[in-house]
Amino acid sequence: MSYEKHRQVIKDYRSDNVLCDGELSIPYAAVPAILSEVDVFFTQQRKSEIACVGVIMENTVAHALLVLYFLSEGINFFLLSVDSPVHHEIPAFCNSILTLVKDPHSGPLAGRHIQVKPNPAWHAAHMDLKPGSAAACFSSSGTSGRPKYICFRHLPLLKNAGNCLERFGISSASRILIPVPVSHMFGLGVGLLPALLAGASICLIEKNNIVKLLGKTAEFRPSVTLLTPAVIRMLLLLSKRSASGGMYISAGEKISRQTYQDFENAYGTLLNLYGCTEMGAIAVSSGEQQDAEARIEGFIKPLPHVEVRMGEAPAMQLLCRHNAGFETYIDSNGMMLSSPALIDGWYATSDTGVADPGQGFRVTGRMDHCVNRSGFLVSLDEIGTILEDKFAEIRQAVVFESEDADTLNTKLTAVCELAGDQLLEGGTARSACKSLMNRYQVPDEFYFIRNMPRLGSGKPDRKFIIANYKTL
Amino acid sequence: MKGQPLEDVKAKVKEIISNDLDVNIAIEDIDDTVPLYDEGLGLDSIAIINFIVLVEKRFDINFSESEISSQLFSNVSNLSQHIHAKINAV
Repeated sequence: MSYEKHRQVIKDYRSDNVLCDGELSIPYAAVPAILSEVDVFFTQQRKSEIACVGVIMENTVAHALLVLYFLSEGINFFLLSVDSPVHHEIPAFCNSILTLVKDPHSGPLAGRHIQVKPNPAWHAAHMDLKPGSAAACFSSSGTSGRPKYICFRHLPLLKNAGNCLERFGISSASRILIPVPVSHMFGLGVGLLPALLAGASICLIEKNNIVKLLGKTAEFRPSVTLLTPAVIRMLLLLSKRSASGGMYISAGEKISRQTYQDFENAYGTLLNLYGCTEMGAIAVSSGEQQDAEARIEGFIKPLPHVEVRMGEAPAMQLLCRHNAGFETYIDSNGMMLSSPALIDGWYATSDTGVADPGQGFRVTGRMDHCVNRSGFLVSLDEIGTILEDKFAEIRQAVVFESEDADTLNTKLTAVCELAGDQLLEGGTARSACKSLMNRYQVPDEFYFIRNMPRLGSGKPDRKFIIANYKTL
Repeated sequence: MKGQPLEDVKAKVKEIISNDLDVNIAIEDIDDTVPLYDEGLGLDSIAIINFIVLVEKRFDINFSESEISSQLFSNVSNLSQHIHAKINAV
């Protein structure tokens, strides 16, 4: 699809489908008039001089329309999550900071709702981002170090969404429930943008919790719901069953085999999506009934127009060739950093995986979560997965190399969150591990806890756990 | 459980929030009409899960997934009225 056609799709709404959030609902037919009114505001604000506008993004119709406007006008934007580690730090490459004044009683979005302030940190002299160059910038999740700024052009971002639209069969008949943040690539690139491109009905949930999710599921009757593994675990704690009959898509950390099975039994087909901010959506599990076992095992296949292959042994890094990846990293001043990490034209994901000729591939962990032990390259994430899959007592496990190693060998520690009221002893777990995994994978020590410390995204807070595991 | 006055139900709901959830909220600070999450009492996702499980257990009731909604859990008053109706319908 050409860029112009993408822009035309965005501008050409004729459907009676709706965009809604917890407070208001508007038909697509109302969108062109709203965008025209927004355009009057930005024309007064000299939109041609906006180098980049920073927005603290919320899951509301107004914020969704704002992104739609930026995309349709080629305006550079930077989305910041409310729960981001760099919250309140709009980088210096944004010359404008935008906030929305909430007033659902006076319509979803108009000039009177928009406040644009200059960013005092902005340095024009250092900008590589030129106004109107159709850039969309994100900060990475920051779970593996200092956040980087990732720059997409609008067209690849839309093409990325187009891949999801094609793979998930999203159409104007679809109903997409988005309780995950649309400031992140999962919510934006897999949920909001494909739904907008298709003219599907959209329901956004801000500050998601289980009450809002179940309430909206019953009311909105979604055909597709985006979830995180943390929410999946919460739904299972409630022991309810969904009547939505729709499909669920999850992204984030690995879901244990038992959790996956329990969720599918209670709620329906769950597709595990693999991606990253740099490449957007990369691969997803098959939703076919006959592929249920492969799906639960974690096997996924690339999306249309995406290729994935394994790097060289022993690391087996996953390499990706994408039709719509990011353009470059930028620093906080908007200066382009080194080119994307490409190996012969393939993007190095920093994740490890194993391939299966018939079933696709499986992500086993992160490259930086690998250690050399007894001459073998050991994926710490894979050990965690085995613990979660083989021990009913363990809900989630984080495995790491202990810094206080007092042996010649690499010392591995497993911090495990126990399921419900379950109990498990370290000695028992270690003995059982010897028959469940290779000897070089068996952790030296175990710590069992009731509540895993987590980041705002729901992922285990690995840094905190490693620093505090003895006192948790 | 049947025949329990509405005021007793409310008191028990507040007791669960104050005493059994991992939140720092005194019973006297729980207004009947203040929202349970977001800008109200601010119960987080985990607290809400625990709250639902405890309410079901203490009142010996079961919410169907279609009953659980923002309206029902909007505040102590709405929830207590629903629980009151539910236990008296048994």
